[in-house]
Amino acid sequence: MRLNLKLIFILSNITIILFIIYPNALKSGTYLDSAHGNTSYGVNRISLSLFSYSIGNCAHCHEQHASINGSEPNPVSGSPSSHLLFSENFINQSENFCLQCHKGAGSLQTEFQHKNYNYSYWFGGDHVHHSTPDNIYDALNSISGSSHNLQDILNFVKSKWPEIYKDESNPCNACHNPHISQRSYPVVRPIPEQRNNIWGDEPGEKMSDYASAHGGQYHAPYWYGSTTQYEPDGSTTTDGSNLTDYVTFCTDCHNDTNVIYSSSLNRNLKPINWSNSDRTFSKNGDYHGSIARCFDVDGTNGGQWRICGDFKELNLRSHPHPPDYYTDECDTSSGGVYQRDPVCASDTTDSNGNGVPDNIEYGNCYCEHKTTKARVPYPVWWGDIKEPYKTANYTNFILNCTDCHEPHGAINGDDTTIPYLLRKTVNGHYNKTCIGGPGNPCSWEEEYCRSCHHHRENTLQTYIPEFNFWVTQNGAHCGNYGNCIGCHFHNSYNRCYGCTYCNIGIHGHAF
Amino acid sequence: MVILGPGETDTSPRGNLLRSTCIGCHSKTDSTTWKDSITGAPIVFNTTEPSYNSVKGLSAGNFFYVQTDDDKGHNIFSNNPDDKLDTAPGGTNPNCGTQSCHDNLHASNTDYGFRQGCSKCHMMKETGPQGFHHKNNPSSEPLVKSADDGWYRFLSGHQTGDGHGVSGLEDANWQKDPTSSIHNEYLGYSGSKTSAGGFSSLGDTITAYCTGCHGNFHVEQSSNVWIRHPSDSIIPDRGEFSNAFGAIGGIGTYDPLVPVARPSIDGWTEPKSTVELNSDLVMCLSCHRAHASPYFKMLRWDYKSWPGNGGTNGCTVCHTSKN
Repeated sequence: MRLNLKLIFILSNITIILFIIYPNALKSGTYLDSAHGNTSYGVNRISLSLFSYSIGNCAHCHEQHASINGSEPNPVSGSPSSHLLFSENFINQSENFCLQCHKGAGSLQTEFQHKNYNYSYWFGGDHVHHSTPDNIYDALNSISGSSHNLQDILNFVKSKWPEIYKDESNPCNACHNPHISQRSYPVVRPIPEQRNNIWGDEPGEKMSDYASAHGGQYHAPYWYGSTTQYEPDGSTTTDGSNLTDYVTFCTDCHNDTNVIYSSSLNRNLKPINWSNSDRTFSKNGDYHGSIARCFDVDGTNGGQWRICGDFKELNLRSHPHPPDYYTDECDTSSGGVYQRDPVCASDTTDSNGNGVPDNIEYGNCYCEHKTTKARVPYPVWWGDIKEPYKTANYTNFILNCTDCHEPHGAINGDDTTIPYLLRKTVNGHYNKTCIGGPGNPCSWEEEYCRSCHHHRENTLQTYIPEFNFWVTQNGAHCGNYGNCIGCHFHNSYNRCYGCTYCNIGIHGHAF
Repeated sequence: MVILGPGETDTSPRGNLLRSTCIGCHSKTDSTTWKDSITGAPIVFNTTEPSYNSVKGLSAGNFFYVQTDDDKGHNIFSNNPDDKLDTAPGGTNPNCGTQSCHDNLHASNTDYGFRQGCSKCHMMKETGPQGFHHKNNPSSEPLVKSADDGWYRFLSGHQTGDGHGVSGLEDANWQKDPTSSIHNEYLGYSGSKTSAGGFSSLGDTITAYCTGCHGNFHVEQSSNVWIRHPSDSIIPDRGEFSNAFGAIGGIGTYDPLVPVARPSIDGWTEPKSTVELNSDLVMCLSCHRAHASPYFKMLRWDYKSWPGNGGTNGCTVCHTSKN
């Protein structure tokens, strides 16, 4: 033992002495581990490679004197730029220092061994539909589609963290640190105390950590083309332990206290509160976030279909059905227990003048109990959650932002409109032109949401015990359908009629 | 008898009764001699690659490297002119006659007395090289800060810099074997970051001297944002710089590979072995050697090959998070 202590003492002193003599000899720090600093695939500006600068060398981005060999290397602007960069740091959405390399045609980088395809491609596994965009410039500058607006980002971060972000800052840096960001871990949180910490590479920075800390569980979406592999890496891991906690990252900005103006939408962004687990009406929060789900994964409530409204006579027979307009279908079908609502039946409005009141002709009246006057409830199919979530059947699914959103931008195509940076491939499902027919809704929103949810089903029947009657529903959950995001959006805490089940009879959360 | 330097053939008498050109005394054909054993002259040009120390040259480097590659140093060779540059990069000075010192060092200029090579930088005076060799500067008094001292390494100003020169502490062995406590010292001054420098604005600093030919490189800021690498800026004790030179509590260890300038050297009798953050300064010579080096652009380390070479990058001595 004494010998070991002596050895440790001697080695420690040698180390200290060497450090004093050769302080610059320390090697291998964060930059060399970064994507830009990698000696195989790091930065390599064409005009600098002609001087045989090593891949990953600082000079590919920074020109110490804005001159090499007496002249300015390409790109030539005629004057030095801020932060010693080879061009202006940020001018607008398309004129941006980073995009000088991270673009397709005209890129100043010699080559990209790992093209900047979108999230759906690299982390969703869809190599079939996402050959474009293959660079960040195109993702941020699509002719139609949606993307992060760089000027909006800069405006926000400058006002939020003025000690870090200035007029001459590059908005890309709000999410990335070019000196440390890695291929697998590209993001750095925008908050000042985290600027030098890669986000997602350490324990505590995974989606599994976020979910467990907020009373829920994460389940990974399917990897495209597989029901056994999952995002983000095509492995069999599903709990988010292999996925960056993008919720914490994104909500540094996109939370429910920051006011972020979108010049693209011409309004402030909707607030997002992913951490609130309180379902109470008027409190910010989302079911996709930390609020535990209200419905069962099969769409029922304890095995019963949830009630949407009351049963109408219309449902018992097709109307109009001459010549027996005045037959009380409620009474007939129930064996005398229920009757047509007499108040309804007393309305004699006859819009077509055929002598039969509209409410009778079209079966508009509800069926009510003859004694209690209680209406017969009408159960509906509310849709269920698709696999792999259905089988997982977690009490509280907490989703990751990138399960649904592209980080840079989303491009319209295949007749699909993609706003809000929504992914075109979600949960292994590629959203494209609606082909119609049962189970094939015809709006991009339905197509999108049905990546994970059944929304309407034209063949399913539900049972009405009062009449011993099966009704074939014309699809649809309670209320309208087709325009999902009219009700279902971040923090839509007062939109959902159906959630009276969960909110003591008042409107509640719809997302 | 005329002493010929490598490649020199002219045996005719020299001006001012000199027996030799500068190179004649300050060169050797071997790789091991760093100081002439008779005259004590420092050898700044070995015709074979220097091998007497790890940096392969004295503090300013060795002209060996510019013999075959003009990218590696100031070309002083009249018989092997610079074929890469025809004027000093970043130059702002007016053309001082034909073959101005501010354009090149290899060609002869006769507009201000005969000048060629070394004398285009050293021993500057309007009428011709001045005899700083005759100034007595004992090694026991390494501080050199005036014309009476001969200025640091005989580097003096002229015209707007008349009466000025470079101040510093001269290592007796020209940093043949430097350590953190054995090295030159340089005066620095954190002045305007938007001007082309010069003695009048930067004082008697080595950076001021360099800006005489490379002044535009001293235009370092625009709207308080760095646009070129600073050459006279105080190294701050914050962020990644707080660990510069291995500093703890603002005090680091002097690294002769990456020298710093001092805000004041008045009264100094020996070099300091520490670097004081928030006080000491980065300067031109923090990265470059004045004569030539084995590396592109006379840098003090093989920057161009980094990180592919797996070697040292002196940048990270200050930029500690960029290694």
